[in-house]
Amino acid sequence: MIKIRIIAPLIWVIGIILSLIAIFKIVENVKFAIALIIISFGVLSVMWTLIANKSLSKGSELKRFTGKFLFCSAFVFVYAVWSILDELFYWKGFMDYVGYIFLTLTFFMFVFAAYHILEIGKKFGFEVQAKKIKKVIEEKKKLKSK
Amino acid sequence: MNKITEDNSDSNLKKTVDEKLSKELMNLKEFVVLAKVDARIYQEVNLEIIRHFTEVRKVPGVYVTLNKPFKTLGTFLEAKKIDPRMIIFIDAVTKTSGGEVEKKDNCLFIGSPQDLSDISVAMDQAVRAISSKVKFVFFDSLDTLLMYNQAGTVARFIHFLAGKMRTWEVEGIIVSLQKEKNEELINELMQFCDVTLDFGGDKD
Repeated sequence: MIKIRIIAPLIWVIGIILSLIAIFKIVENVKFAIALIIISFGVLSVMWTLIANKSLSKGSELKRFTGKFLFCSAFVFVYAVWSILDELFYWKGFMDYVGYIFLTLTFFMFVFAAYHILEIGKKFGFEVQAKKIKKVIEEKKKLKSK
Repeated sequence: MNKITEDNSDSNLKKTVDEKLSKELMNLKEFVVLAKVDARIYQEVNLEIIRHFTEVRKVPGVYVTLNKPFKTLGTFLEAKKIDPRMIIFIDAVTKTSGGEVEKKDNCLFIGSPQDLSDISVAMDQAVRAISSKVKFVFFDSLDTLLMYNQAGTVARFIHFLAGKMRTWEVEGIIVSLQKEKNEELINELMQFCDVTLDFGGDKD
């Protein structure tokens, strides 16, 4: 069991290193190689978020948050792709601004997601209630000792 | 005359619950208990279990209600002179506006008993917030969960919950009505629990 725990991540790391080497060997342009890596990470993050979203209960706070996070990941991904294309085709004029629109949308979604997580923290945080319970227990102990 | 009979049956039940919990759980430090309760004495037994934890053993905890609204529960606790300040409530039965999560006093209202993700997160946060070494989690009930979710989902959730209760190192009680309909699921769930307590009304 311990062997599997060590071997599995090791295989992952070796796999990632080998694929990175392969990308840099096949694609000689460093910028383009980095772009491909960024895109693959983007696809992975969107996929994981989608899987998480699917497995969470319908209408739950977590599902709603995951939905917002999905938009964040998707916009970052689109922005990254757009930047790569811009780099390749040297777009000028209006096309140049489209990237900024994606970037603005990304940060918009990040603000929404951050506000939602703030709300989740307020709702699901029980520190105040826990402090009250501690106080009650202390009160009861004092009463008992008297 | 009726009042006297009622008082007698109340104190009998109190004694039965106290004895059963003390005897069966005496040697266990942390545990997951499946309590099967007769429908006729369901509420009384639940309240007596809570009283046993908060008043006799002075243990704080988390009460997850899918059955009775927090407001109604508060009235019952008050009538039994049980201190609700020792408990964090998670109420998945009082529908909130728009079915969203809302917090008031020491209760967190979850939109619906189908929101198993939110219920799990709320329980995890509530249990971890209580600093006391010994704490309990009371889950009421399996039957209501079954009304809103499929049997397979409920079994998986209870398996997850039992595992979580062990990770949290709490004293966990999962309540179920004694019904023939539930027997198959209960038998399946018994393997995840340490003890099954039978509060079968007249049989006691």
